[in-house]
Amino acid sequence: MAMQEINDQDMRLKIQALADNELPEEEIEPVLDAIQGSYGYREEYAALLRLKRQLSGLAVQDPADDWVAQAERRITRKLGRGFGNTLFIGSYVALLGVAIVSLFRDPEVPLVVSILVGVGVLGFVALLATAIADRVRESRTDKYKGVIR
Amino acid sequence: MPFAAGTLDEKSERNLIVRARNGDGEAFSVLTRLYIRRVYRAAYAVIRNHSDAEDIAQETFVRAYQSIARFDEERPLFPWLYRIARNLCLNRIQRVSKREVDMPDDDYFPDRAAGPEAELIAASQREQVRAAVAALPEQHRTIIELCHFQECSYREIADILDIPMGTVMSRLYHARRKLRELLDGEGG
Repeated sequence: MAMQEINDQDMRLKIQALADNELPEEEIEPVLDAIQGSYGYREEYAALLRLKRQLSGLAVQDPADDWVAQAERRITRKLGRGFGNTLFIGSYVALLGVAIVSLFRDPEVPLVVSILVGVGVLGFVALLATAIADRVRESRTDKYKGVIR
Repeated sequence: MPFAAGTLDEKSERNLIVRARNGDGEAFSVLTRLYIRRVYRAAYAVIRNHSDAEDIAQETFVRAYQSIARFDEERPLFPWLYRIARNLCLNRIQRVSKREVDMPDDDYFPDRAAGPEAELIAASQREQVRAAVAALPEQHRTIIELCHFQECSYREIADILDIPMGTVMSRLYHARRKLRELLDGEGG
């Protein structure tokens, strides 16, 4: 598109994109020409750079370099802990399942023990189901629904 | 369209995300090193406490690693990290009943090379700019914050605010225009 066909507002957006380093390579030269050829565009570009400099004074202090290295180690440790927890809980639940099934299959186990264990398992499942149902109900009415917990 | 300054080009970032998703810890470490400062700044802008912002930055990457399998690598990574960090901040604020504040106000770099008088003038100018940004309508303030304080690219801003790129450009233009008017009005 020829430069003269671009309206003033579009050109100002392109000048802004140039100042933000967002202008595609092939458009840089024509926009620079337009800036050079117009006092208004030169003013616009200079004002943008001035504003960017003023705003850079409000930057938040970055954490130190050694913090980044420490943070990386802490993230790795947290991930390792999470993985360990998952393995531990997973294997514990699996073991419990195997033990309960073995108990029911063992003919030497008194009937009363099997019944008590069965009732205990049922109770646990009921508690779990209630907790999940409560959680689902809460999430439906939660105003912080998008918030990761 | 280029990514924000100090980050990777789209192809390299996508490559790292795919590798991290396939369990490559080193690729995730590279992404962590690239983005943790920006995530820290995003968290600090909401929570306004260095120690909490550091914790949240770390937690953000833990959550990101756990959920990276669900992340669409065609999208830029930072907006996703930004959202996780912001949500973690909101959770923490909700827990401790702190109010969210929009602008950093007490963490400027003192210019040690300049004398006390020059530093005083600079501090006063910063205060003027801060007050002008705070006086902007919320929509304008948000886009100024994302562009200037979070150093987001147009594409990242579009993704975070869920608006088209053209809207990002025009909203940013109007926000800056308004900000310049406010500053010219104050500073003369």
